[in-house]
Amino acid sequence: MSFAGIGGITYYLPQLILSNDQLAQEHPTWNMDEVGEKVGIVERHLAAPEECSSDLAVAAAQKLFASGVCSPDEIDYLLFCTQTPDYFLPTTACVIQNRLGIPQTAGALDYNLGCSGYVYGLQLAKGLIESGQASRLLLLTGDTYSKFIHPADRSVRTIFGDAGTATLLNGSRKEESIGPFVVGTDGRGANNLIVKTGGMRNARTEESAVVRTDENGNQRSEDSLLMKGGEIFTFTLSAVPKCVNALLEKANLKTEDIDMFVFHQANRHMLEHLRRKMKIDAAKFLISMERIGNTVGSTIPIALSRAAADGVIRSGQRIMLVGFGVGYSWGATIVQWL
Amino acid sequence: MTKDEFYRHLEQSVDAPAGTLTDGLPLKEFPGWDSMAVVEFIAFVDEQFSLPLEYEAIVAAKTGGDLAGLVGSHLT
Repeated sequence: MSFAGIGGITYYLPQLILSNDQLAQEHPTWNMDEVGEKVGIVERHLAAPEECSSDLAVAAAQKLFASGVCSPDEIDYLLFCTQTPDYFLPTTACVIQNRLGIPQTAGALDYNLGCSGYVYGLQLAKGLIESGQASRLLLLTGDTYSKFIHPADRSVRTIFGDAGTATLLNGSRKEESIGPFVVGTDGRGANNLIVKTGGMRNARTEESAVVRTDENGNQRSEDSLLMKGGEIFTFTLSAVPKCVNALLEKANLKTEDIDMFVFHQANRHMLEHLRRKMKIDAAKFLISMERIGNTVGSTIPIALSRAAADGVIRSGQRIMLVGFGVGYSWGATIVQWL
Repeated sequence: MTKDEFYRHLEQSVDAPAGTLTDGLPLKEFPGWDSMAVVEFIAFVDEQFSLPLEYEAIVAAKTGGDLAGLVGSHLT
């Protein structure tokens, strides 16, 4: 039997940059120094008006192919994680298959997850590869949350950025290098991070487009992204430590056996609190969002790619990945670095 | 932790002078009591007392005394 392994990761950030200085000029009452210090974000990249999730993912995939790890004609399965697809239909993965020149014999599908999406993608990829249904799988992530964000909503505009990533998964490992997995779901949190309109449940109307100001002075309409940050924080404090502990138990490992922890890069304050709560050494805990922002399902592969390029993670190391957020949905796994 | 120490920490969090927070003073008097301060309060209580708080209970608090009440017997 051959096992799935990561063969390479690349990412693409759109060219438009929104800095804290620009936001401070636009909104003089926003304390952008606090955002830089506590949230840990000073810049975020935003998709251009005509730039969609598929464009970000395709650009990341083209970088992966240009790196020489494989060519498009070798891919036999494509998974695309996005919550901002190009269309309701067709599946954006089908559009991407054609643009990248991936064979027509390949399977291709989108799945709708946010901050837990990369871990779920690895789980699906491992299942497809190790059951013999795929041998070279392209796992893409891409989101343009910025298109959902009201410009006067500090709670989300200061945090989220847009990005795309590409990960090659090969079925050529002699030993298991991905897994085990722990995943979880709690749909009671659905309304705490949501875009309420635009799907089939709630149509976009003149009424839904009316902009209102909340108790914190943030402005948004029903058509915009809503994030209840306090609720999300409470959820992570409850779910993430349990998820990490369950994974360690399942893998029969201890915290000190993990060489690096790569959590979803939500914001620095939240990550630092989780790190202290779980007594993880700061040197083994990656924080990598300062000039990127929270890019939803792309944060983990971006952090991995940057850490590998900087020599922070090295071949053979055991790395725990933990995704959590919108849904609520969460997942964690351990990968042996390529 | 005493209630005074609890209040001194909260004052630092909302960037208010020491000694200004009291049982009855409305939290809306403190411009620093915003969404970030609420998140910091959740983290502080979790770290100090391992006490999970409901977000809705925190935003429903009107005064310093209401916040102290959420921590209850953990304050001496």
